[in-house]
Amino acid sequence: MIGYVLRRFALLVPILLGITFVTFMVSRAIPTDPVVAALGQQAADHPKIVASYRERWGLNKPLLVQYAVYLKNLLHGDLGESIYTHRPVAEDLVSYMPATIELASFTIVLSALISVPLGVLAAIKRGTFVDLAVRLLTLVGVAMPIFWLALAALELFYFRFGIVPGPGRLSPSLNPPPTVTGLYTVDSLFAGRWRTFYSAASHLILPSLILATWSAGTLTRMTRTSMLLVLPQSFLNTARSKGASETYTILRHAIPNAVIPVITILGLVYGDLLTGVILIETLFSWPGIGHYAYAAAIYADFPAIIGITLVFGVSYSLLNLGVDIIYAVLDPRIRSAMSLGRR
Amino acid sequence: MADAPSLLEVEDLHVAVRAAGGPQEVVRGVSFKLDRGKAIGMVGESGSGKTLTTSAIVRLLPAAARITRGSVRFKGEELTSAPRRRLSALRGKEISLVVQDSLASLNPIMRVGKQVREPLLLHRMLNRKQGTARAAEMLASLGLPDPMRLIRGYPHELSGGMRQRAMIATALIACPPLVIADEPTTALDATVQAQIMEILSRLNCEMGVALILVSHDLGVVGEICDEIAVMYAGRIVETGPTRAILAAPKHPYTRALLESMPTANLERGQRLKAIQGEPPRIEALPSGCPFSARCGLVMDICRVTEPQLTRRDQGEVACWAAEGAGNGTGAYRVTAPTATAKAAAQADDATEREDPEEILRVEAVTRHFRAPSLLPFVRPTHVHALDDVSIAVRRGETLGIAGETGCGKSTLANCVLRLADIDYGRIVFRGRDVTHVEGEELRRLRRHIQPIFQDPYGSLNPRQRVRSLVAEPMIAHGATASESERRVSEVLQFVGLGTHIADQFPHELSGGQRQRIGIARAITINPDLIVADEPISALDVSVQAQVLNLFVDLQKQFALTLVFISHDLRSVRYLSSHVAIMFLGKIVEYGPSEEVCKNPLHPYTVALLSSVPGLRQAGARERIILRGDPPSPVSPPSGCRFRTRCPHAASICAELPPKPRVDPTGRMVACHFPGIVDTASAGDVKATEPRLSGAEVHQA
Amino acid sequence: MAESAAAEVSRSPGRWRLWRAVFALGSDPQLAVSIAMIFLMAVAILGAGFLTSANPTAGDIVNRLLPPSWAHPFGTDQLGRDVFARVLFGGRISVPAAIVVVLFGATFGTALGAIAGSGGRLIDEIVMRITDVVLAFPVIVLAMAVSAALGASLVNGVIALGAVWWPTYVRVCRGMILELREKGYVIAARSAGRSRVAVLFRVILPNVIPALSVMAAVDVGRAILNFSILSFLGLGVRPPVPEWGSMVASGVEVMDQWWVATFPGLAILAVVFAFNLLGDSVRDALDPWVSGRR
Repeated sequence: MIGYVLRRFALLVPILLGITFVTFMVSRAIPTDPVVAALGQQAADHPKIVASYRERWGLNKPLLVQYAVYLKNLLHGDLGESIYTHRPVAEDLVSYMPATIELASFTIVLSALISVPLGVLAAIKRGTFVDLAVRLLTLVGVAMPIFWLALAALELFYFRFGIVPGPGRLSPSLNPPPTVTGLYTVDSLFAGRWRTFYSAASHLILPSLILATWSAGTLTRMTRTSMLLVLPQSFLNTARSKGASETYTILRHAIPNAVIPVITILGLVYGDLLTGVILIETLFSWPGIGHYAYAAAIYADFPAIIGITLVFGVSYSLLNLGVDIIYAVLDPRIRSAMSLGRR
Repeated sequence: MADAPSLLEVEDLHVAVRAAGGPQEVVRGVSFKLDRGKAIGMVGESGSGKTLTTSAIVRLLPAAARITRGSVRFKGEELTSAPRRRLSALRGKEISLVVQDSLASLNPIMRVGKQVREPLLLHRMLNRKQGTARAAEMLASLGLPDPMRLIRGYPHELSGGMRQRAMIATALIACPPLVIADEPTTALDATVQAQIMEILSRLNCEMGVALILVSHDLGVVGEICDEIAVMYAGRIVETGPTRAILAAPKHPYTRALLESMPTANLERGQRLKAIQGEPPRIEALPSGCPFSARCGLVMDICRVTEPQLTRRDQGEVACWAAEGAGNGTGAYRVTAPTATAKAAAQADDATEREDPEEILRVEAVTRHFRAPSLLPFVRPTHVHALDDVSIAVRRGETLGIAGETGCGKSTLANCVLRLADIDYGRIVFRGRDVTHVEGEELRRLRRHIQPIFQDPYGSLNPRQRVRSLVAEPMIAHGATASESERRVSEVLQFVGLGTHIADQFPHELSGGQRQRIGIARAITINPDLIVADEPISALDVSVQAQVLNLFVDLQKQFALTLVFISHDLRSVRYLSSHVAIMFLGKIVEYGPSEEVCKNPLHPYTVALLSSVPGLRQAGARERIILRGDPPSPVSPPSGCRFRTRCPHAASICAELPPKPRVDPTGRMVACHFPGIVDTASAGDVKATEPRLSGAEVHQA
Repeated sequence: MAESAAAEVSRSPGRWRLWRAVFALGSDPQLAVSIAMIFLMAVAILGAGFLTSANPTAGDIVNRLLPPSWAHPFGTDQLGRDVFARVLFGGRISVPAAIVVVLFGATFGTALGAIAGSGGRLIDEIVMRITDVVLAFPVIVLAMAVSAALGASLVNGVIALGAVWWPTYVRVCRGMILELREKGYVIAARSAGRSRVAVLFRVILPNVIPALSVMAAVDVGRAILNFSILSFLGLGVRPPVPEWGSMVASGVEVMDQWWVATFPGLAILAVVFAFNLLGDSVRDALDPWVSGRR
């Protein structure tokens, strides 16, 4: 098991190198002058700035050297400076990260809470009206243009009915809690500020519900499929033949087996989630990476775009590594296969 | 309440399955009784309704099936209308189930101990701790070593035999008076099968547990059961005491089933009395007797009215012919080999002595599988799939290779077919070293060596018609369209399929038909050698006999050179002129098949032969139950690889691997004490003089 | 039941397939509904000129922001353009763009997958690592970067999506080939004496291509959705060209006039839903490769 984890970490290295190489290539593939793209037209008019910039990023050297310089700067946490915010990109990323993590985690938990019971129910009631309804609902969820859904929801629930708080992470009258984790819900609990907690949580509800349409749709369908594969298996009949009731059989034997494979598609869900984060954060003025990414794309803020792409790629790789390890921990068969060295 | 009810009474049970054209009756009026401590065997081919009958008893039918009529009474209590809650209370505590596929029947992510003790917790008989202790006890009593470790293991970490014993332990843990075992030994190796049969027989005889044993194999059922019920197309067609049925079957189907097993007294080259056709599909039953279409004794009435079970002698039969024929149908015996058959066999031997051309020679072939190591820079472990294997096949011979799962027999086949590479050794085909031929040369070699595969479903491309499938080898080797067209119809005729089948796709054919196409494909280009890897094991019993007959015909007509690989010693003995017995990547015994089967020298061969119901009477030996499971090929035992299971193992066996000894007639055995038969302890036997000369395998 | 009918169609080769397909439609309402939806929408988009006489790009300031009426079934937008006409003509942008993206992704990905699956270990390893790297970026994020680099336009949007659309196909195609290589009938074809190339082109690929084609057809829905997201973010098609995503975006400014944003959004939902419904019907035909994709 430990050997497996080590091996997986070793495999991570070429992937990370590849990711950095892709971001590097994209940043160099820009048809416009990279100096102009990176510094903006105004700065580019000053030869001094341009020269020092070229020196810092090794732009007058061969491509491979440039990549090495890029990697070296990267290792020092230097992602360049954002044209839009005029701050180091790394600093920006760190400050926007917690808001996104809070939104994404909340969404994943919410999706799991919706998906697992719904998927199990649909599988057990296969072919009935309940199943059909769940399936159609998930199909609509996966097909939903969530930017449009978000607009409609904001218009209805915030502007017209006023039953949810508006954009942002907190009501304007409150100050953010002292930073521990950066997640307002958690930090406000640490600080014992109940009103802040309530406000932060209620601000989370609408964006994460909308964000969850995709992930809940995918997860519900996966749970249903996985459950359908488990239900006809004969070990369930074994349980029944031991005298187990139907409920016991489903809860103790079927669901644990059905849920494990669902974990493996978290990687797939993650891609959707990040896409959703960009849209939702923009529409809800949520000060996270997604919002930052949108602004960067609109203002052609290249250093920022590259930094964001890098963060997304790396976090995806880490997430997949985590998923594989969790999978191995939960399923003894995978664990054995791992220790035999099969991938 | 005059007389006490039987433990289980099944009466006129009907089960229907939801199908496209409305519900189909798949169990059509089954009745039987089972008393405490008795054992009944239910025998039938696929689709006979035997498994649905037993599932209906405990009401664990698949979702599409339901009981439509009849009653099931357990200790006088009606089960067909009992509430679910009551059934749950009975299952596991009063009636237990053991099913075929033990891997699928165990929860893959739950520890074995938890699963074994589960009935005790569900019925609130013991608490967790006591339950675990009881589970360990139970596993130990079934001969499983180190039960405390087993309990913490997961199902996939156990071998097939261990899992099946864990399943039996689960079934027995709450001491139920009735156990239903559905194909409990199918898919297990012969020696492991023998262990399980032993356990089942013990629990029936010694513990007084009543047993319903479901199997497709009359031999297996005959070993244990007091009574047999033969099922065909959803009905019991014959039932009676085991002895009576095996000695004097009255229904033509029962008789045919017995005849279609290649038994010990059957000469090689003698055709089996196979039942024609295949089991009917339940949705297309013929009118009248469902067996009428395949029956040799069919009369007019058979096609009109279905016969009912009627009492005859000690049993009951549902057959018009048995009714009318009276005493005429006496005891059935396998016909003694006729003079002509014997002469033919001798002629066969005579030709063999002329030393025909050697077609295939495998010289000291070794193949490892590498299990990659977990950490970088650590050497990968080697799995010995084949270790120093040498065989030779001459023209017209059939070499049978027998052994259990993982012994390397399929790997050997793949090496000969050049589908797998070898690490050391040589493969010589007709005097030419073909070990490393590649590319175009390999393609041309394949014109002369053709395979027949095990899985008749997977080995035919679903997108090709029969015509093009059969023609494929010819086309690949440059035959013209008209040539191949003519040859295809010729070959299809020969394997007993009409030419009309040429335009069909594989999925429209039955398993037997597909396997015939596999054979047709192999013979179209008249190869010098055919390698058949388990060609009959995926087929129904009655169809197996047909395919074996086809092989016999091929041998006679084409002087076929064949390597026939099977785990089933019965069919290997029946088809082969020579046999090689493999154990864990090594050939432990080799020789003319009659010789080896009549007078086995290696203890493993002895045990293997004794574990096959149909072959045991040959030498009238006791059944020998080998200990434990086949050892892991990753770390084979030191010295003789068989020693951990050998009843005669001595200290030398652990130290030195036995050298193969060859006698002048070409018989080979790799054992320190060949021919050892007495059950005396190994220490005493040490002094026994080996019967064979110590000559070693000659390296040609 | 729905799944089995579709599976039946894909499994039955030869001349009966068409008949079986027609028959399956009758026994599989879900498949029938999805195909009918796609067909109707295709007719509406192709025949947009017959369904409305309004010009999708001609502004009419006098009649701006009119609510839905007989003259303007979906109302008019800020510039007085007919939303109904814009939705119909918008399909002529979004759908072909998505088809081009999928066609490119599927072809390139399948070819690369075939190379990885049938080439040597080294080639396989290299191709798969590259695929892993590209797969590590969410489609939209990488497309955003590409499109921001090239500048926002219809063609650049298609290039941006196409550049990141192929990795799934590499994975699925390679997975199928590796699995098929171990199948009995492929081994049988090899030992019948067929050459390596013949086995790949005559036996393996004919079993891979149909499943991948179905997967690609279904994938069009996902591509439409992603394309509209790109346009919504202002990184795809720019005004005044009618495209559903950018139409929703321009509706943001006038949320009180709900019709401006609602109808293009509904159009996206309907088209993508129809493709997903189709995919759901035929999914079992593709199993286990597609449902297991990552």
